[in-house]
Amino acid sequence: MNTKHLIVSIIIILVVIAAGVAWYFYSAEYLQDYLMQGSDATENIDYEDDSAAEISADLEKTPDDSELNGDMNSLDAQVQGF
Amino acid sequence: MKKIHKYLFLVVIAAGLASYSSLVFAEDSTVQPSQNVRATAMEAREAVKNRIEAQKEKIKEAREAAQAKAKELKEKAKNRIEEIKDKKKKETAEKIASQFERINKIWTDHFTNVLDRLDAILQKIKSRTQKAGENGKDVTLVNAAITNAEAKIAQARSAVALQAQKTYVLNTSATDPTSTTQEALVTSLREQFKVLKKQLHTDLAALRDGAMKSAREAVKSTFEALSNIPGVDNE
Repeated sequence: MNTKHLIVSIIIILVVIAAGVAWYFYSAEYLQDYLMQGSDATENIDYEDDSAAEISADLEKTPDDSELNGDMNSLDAQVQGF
Repeated sequence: MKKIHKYLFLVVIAAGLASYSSLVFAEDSTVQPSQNVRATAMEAREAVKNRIEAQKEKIKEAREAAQAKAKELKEKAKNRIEEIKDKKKKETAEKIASQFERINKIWTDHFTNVLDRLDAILQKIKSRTQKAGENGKDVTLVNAAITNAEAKIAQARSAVALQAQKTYVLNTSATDPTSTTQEALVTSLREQFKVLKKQLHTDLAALRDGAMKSAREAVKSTFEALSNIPGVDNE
């Protein structure tokens, strides 16, 4: 009985520790996602590197407006389906 | 002989002191530019940050004022949708009615983000132009392009703020009040939704292809003018 009890206790402790570790990493990832959503488009700009290559890369990474038509088409489909 | 040794000793000490002081000054002169670069970068970051905050506040106020103004119209539209008896149709109508403002907010926020980024990039172009000027390069064209880009960004920011304060609410007075049948009510609302969707698309596309495109092109042209300067990256 004692051995069985001990094994069950160890398993429970291990499960609790595993759940804690998983939760720690999940919440960290979740927090990171949350912070990413709140970030602005200038956050990854390195103001100290003003070389032409770096400025060119910054320009390349500027978001485009290509998804506007997609959003409007989706809205149009909803209106047509009403 | 002792005297010579004494003089030699003094000369060695003096030479040692001179080389030490020259090392100190050399160290100072190497630290100075990097400190300047850091200070200029911090100033640029601060300037962009202030403009971003000011624009955010401006858009927030514009949105709040527009929401307050449209409150009555929204209430009327809500009541009109409530008249739909088909539960599924009613839910769809409510969803569509909320989509217009959601899309407008997403896109005005997106345009603001793009302008913030262009503004930050322009600060870097200005910093590089200043260095090129100090190195004796001709930066007249770049400076003219910078002034133009700053004006275009400012114009685009105003246009985005104007767009953010627009509301897209069902005009219940335009829906047929005599539409007593459910079918007539749905048809009337559908037509209104089409009008709103067309208006929103026209407004956002005009902003994208007008002020936003001009700002993007102005910053791009400024960078092109800068990269045309030979040895522009020389410190």
